[in-house]
Amino acid sequence: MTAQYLLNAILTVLTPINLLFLVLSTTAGLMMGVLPGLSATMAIALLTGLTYNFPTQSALIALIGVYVGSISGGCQSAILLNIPGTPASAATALDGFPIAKQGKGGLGIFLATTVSCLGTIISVIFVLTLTPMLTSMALKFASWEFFLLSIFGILICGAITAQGKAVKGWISGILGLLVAMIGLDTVDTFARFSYGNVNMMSGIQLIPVMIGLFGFPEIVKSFKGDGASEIQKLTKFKAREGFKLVGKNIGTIIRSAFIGVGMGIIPGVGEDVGGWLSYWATKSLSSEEEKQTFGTGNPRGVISAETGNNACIGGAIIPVLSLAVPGSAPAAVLLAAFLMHGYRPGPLLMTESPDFVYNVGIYLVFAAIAMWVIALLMAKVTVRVLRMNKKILMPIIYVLCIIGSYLINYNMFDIKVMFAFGIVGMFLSYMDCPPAPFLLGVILGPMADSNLRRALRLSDGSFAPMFQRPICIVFLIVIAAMILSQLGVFRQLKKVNTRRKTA
Amino acid sequence: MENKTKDTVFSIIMMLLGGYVVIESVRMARKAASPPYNITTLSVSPAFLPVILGIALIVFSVILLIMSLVGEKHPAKAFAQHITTFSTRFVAALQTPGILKMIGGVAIMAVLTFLMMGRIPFWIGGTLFMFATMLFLRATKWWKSLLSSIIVMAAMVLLFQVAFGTTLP
Repeated sequence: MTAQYLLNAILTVLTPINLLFLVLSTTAGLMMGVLPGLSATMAIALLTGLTYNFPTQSALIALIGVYVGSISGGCQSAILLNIPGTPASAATALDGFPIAKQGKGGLGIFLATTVSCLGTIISVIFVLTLTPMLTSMALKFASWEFFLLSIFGILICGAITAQGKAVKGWISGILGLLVAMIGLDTVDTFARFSYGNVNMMSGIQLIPVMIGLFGFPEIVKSFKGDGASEIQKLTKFKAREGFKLVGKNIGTIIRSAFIGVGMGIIPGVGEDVGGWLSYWATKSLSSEEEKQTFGTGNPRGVISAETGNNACIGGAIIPVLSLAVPGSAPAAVLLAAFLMHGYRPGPLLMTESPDFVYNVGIYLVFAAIAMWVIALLMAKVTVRVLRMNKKILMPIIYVLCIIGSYLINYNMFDIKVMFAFGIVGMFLSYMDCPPAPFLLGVILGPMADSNLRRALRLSDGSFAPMFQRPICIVFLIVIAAMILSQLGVFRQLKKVNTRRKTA
Repeated sequence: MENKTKDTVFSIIMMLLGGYVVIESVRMARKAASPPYNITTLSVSPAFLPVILGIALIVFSVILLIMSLVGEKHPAKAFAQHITTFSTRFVAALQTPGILKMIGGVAIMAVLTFLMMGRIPFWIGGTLFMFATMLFLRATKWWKSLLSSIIVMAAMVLLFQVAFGTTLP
């Protein structure tokens, strides 16, 4: 029966009209992903409305195509412009931009696109085969685990991005968490840091913050003529060299795909965390000598980040299909789109529409392949767009940033929020403080807050249950070890021990 | 500017912000303890995480400050030196042509964001903004700037308003 479902799905996607939808939607997704400020969430949201009158399967193909395209497209501007097109590709910029600066922009994009395709395809294997097992694993997470997971994510991101000064990264993460506290809290609807402003009470939207933090400083720097925001060239490269690098790093790709799927399956933890965690794992597992090359143009940085964030796509779809709980923000919009097209994701899906899971899996594979082909063909066009005179391009990008901020809620306030966080982004950039942990704090803040408060309510304000849960204990040990190692406590202890021995 | 100077100033600003967050959170906790909320236990209060975050901000800022002063013979003197250096260089930077261009650009962006949006149609405001910024930055000849601004805005309206059926600001 499974083979029949898979064959039907392949035949459906291979019809001319569906292939056309696939190509068009993936291209649109890539363009959305490439342009900073236009997110995957927004791309799917825009297309959901547009596909309302489409035949159901064509609409599903288009939605999945735009999802894969927009998540993958973000790497192109991250590599060539040092502005992540979407938050998912923030980790890619760390090594991608230095690669482009070394005159290997073409190779960087080839690597990122190829591993994005592989990451998505590997995640599909999980969607189709390991869904029940992964779902049961994610179900073991309760409030305490979700709280610690979000803190762990922010600490990792801070440690990775602060270039040797983790404290600055953590401060940035705390600032992001504080921004997430603005508005009515989810448990008691108590207004926090709102100052009586109705717009503030509804909370600060993620997209304007992201656009402000990452887009605004680059735009303003370009006014000065600062070389840091220079658009890098898409240099020629030998495909064989790219494939060789991919082949050499197959272990990194598989590990990153595992991490990406794992992060995707956990509700609320999106593609960006998948990218960061995969990057962190690769960096941590490297030799001391290689660790120094991360952030300076190490291809493994790009490979791990892009595999991780794309593998999250499949991972994020698993809880959507099995529990009707989205794994990430774009998956949440996708869930709404599935509902709009008459599907009821959840525990009953396999009995009501057993073919649906296989359809989604096959559409993801075809979307990944289409993305790979189109992204490589389109790279030259992307460069033309991004290589325009910066002083012409940046005002256009600012107008797109305004549109991107506005379209999420059709609210003028969000445009002002984007501007305000742009100034914050400029300040952080001036102080050499990484903005990525800030963004992650804003993303994970609601999850951290609501889960901590729910857990404390259930335990009458006691922290004791946190120390009685095995997964929590693992998290606490890892968090403590990370903080102590980043503050140099272990190094100091080692020194003291050596001194004692010599004495 | 030396990293230690930036770290010193950054840590001071963050400490002040952390202090403000703690004070505001304590106020929040008091408000939550009164009707209609009546949440008297701090650990289940909506102010709990903000208090923790404020304290964490202060703690990490103090650590950063200590790290920026480690190795100095006279930490107090070094602290004062960092503050003076930062202020002097910041004021000096404000007078350089590059920074002035950045400030001018941000001012034009602020005019579009706060004064034009919602008051005049987006296609007029956006076109004017792009033209004015390109002109201010001397990006290209004025007629090329005007033409590209009009073409780009027309393309945006076509894509978002006509193709996607969305409403622009």
